[in-house]
Amino acid sequence: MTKKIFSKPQAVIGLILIMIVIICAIFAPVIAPNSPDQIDPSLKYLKADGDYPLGTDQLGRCELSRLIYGARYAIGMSIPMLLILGILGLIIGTFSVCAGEKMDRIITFICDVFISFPSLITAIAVISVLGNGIQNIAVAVVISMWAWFARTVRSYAATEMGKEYITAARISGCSTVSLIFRHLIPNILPQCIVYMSTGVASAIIMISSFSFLGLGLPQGTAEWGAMMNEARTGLYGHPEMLVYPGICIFVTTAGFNLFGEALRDALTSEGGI
Amino acid sequence: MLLEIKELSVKVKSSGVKVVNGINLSVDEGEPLLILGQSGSGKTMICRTLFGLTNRYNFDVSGQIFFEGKDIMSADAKKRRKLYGSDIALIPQNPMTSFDPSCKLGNQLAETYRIHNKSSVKAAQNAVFEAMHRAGLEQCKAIWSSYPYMLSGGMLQRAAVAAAIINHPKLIIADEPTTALDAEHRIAVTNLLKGLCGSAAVIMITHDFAVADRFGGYAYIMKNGVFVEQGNIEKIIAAPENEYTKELLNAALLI
Amino acid sequence: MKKYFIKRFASTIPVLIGVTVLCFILMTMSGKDPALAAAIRSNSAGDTILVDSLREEMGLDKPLPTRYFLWLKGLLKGDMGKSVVTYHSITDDIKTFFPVTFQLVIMAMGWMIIIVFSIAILCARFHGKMFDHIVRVLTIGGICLPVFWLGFMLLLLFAVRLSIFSVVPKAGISGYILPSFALAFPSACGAIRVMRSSLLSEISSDYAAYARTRGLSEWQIIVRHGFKNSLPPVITLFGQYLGYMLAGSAVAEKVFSLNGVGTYLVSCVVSGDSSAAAACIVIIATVFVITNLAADVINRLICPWMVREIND
Repeated sequence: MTKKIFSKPQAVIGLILIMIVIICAIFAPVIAPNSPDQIDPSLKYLKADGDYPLGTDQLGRCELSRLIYGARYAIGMSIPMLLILGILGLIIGTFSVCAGEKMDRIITFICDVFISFPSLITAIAVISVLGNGIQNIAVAVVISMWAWFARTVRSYAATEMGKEYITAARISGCSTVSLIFRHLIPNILPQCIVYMSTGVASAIIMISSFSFLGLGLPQGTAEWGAMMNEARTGLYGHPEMLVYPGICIFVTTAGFNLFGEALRDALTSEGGI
Repeated sequence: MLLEIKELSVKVKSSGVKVVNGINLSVDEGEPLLILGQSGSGKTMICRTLFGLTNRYNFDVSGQIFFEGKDIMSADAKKRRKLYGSDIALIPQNPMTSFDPSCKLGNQLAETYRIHNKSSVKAAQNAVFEAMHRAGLEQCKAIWSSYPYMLSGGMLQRAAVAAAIINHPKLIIADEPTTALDAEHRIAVTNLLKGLCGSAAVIMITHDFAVADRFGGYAYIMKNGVFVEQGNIEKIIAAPENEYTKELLNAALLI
Repeated sequence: MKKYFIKRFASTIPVLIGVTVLCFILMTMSGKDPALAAAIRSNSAGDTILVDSLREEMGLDKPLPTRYFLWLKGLLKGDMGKSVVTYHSITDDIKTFFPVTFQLVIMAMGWMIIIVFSIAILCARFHGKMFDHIVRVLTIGGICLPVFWLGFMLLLLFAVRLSIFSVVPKAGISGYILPSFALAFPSACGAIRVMRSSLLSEISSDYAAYARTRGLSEWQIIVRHGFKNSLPPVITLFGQYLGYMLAGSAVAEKVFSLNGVGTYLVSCVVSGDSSAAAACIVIIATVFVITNLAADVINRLICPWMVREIND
């Protein structure tokens, strides 16, 4: 399985991109040449040189350092969020399938209601209730996306529960709890992981969309979307400030999408999905 | 000689298995011909090769197929398309999946006519009705405007026959035309195809000895890509020579 | 057929009720007292009598269920109250902002249909060729493009460098060309992939092979038969993307300085105007539900044999 994944160049490229971003996020203080938040108006819009490899922004902050620290927000927020979403989806999805028809209908209905909102809108609504803050963004994204995860896991679980080996296990006296943990979850887990890995990209784009709109994170945060929001005024004079953060978002999401896709291909060819 | 197949071989690239292994076959005008064999014996592959449905990524094809003396394997796609549906027609294996499900049946039949004949919509419709009539379909107007899912397998197979004869072909190839049908329709369709012989040569590909017996004509028994026995079908059924043919016949009797 | 449509319509009603309930809950939960907010706005926060009378005027002293029904009634009548921030009628606000967003999303949908149909058909026709490979790579990349970044890059290229379009929004269609393209492109990349694989599976199906034996060319098979049959998953996706683009318009509007519902919604959220925000959200969600319904109905009409479970 792993061999199969890594025989594909797109998986390797994806993983390399992901690793680069993760390393940037973890070792940001070591890698970054300057402090990302050091404001010095006298240094504004410096050309790239030894001290400031990508120059400085409108407040004289080191652009490269800010980009590197930005990886912390992208990775540090999206991955925990996806873990929460994945676990929540697994619990609700399997519960929905296993808890009887009535419960299943109720949960499906609630999911339908949540899915009726485009996720960006739900998240905006939640932010409007909770106010700004990193945790609040996380909560907003989880609330806006959980229904998709729950519904997807539910469909995986429902397919799996219809298979003969589950019936066989039931007949041979396997209890529901052990059925879920021994058979159901291990069998749907790979599909769920693939779904999660493609969800990371959309979570990253959503987070940066938020901060671009000025929602969620405080002004001046070294987050890619927020940086673009601040660089808007420099559209004529300093367009490079708009280009860099976008490339970072693009590289990160491309990494996760490429890897997720290779994962799905490997799984599909194994007859997993 | 209408159709002549010379040393035709088809190899599956991925596994290296030769599903058709150097077969020779010829058909005269208006003559019935049978190819008998179990599933996997390669008989459908002959038919696919003839219609150019074997893509070169998956299959290695060698040998020659002559239609009216011209090699159609080396002809370009455009020339071949002119033959398909007009001079050479196919009656497909599974009529239920062979029609575009979102297109009215009449339009699909008329399309077959209009590709090969310059004609008005009205003339095409008349040609379709006439072909349907010859294929034993009544209520032509109702069938014209129905979608494939509205009709039974037997009716669809008759519609496929109508599509095959609409351009008065010289050669009709029926690839297991009865397999997807129930017993009653099986007999009717076989009789229908038998009735077409004379006006066209009909190659009947089947695994069913009952169908073969009813259809009659010269038969080839096929196993693992080669012809193991050939001769008149009545003779073969009465006195099979090859061991494999005997097995097949015994199995057919047991069922 | 009729029965299916009635059932499908009926199934959206509970969902819509759920949507309004959820919106209402979010609105009341937002913690900000609309009456107080209004009082602060008019610089009389300390005036408790005023706040109480405002509260009464807004019906905030009634129990929650009653308030919900009052709110719903207002919503259905088109009377959503006054914005506590701008003091304009919310309905009027939405009437001025919605056409902008609507035009933007409709044009984006137009881009999407043009791009997706043409590229996917070419991919299917030239499957495995250079063109197909290039499109595959480009679409993987395209999905990852954030709308706002793409928007800025388009502005930089076409407005700043080439001066074809103006950076300041222009009245009329030309002002929407860039924003709608930026909005449509990432979604279109996703849709191209879906349609390409759907088309490929159609042209490798039984009926396509049979059509080949009847003398149809590859183009004829794709255009006359494969295309129509490959549509259902694409139309379902379009229905969803329409809703996403409606939400994503907030981003595109900000990049291109358009004043649409998205901008309005964000400004409502920022300024704590929860009733106006709730009104926008209900409208967007309703449109989303309706487009999904429309996608199902269209699918049913082009592919009448499709037997689909209602809650699927």
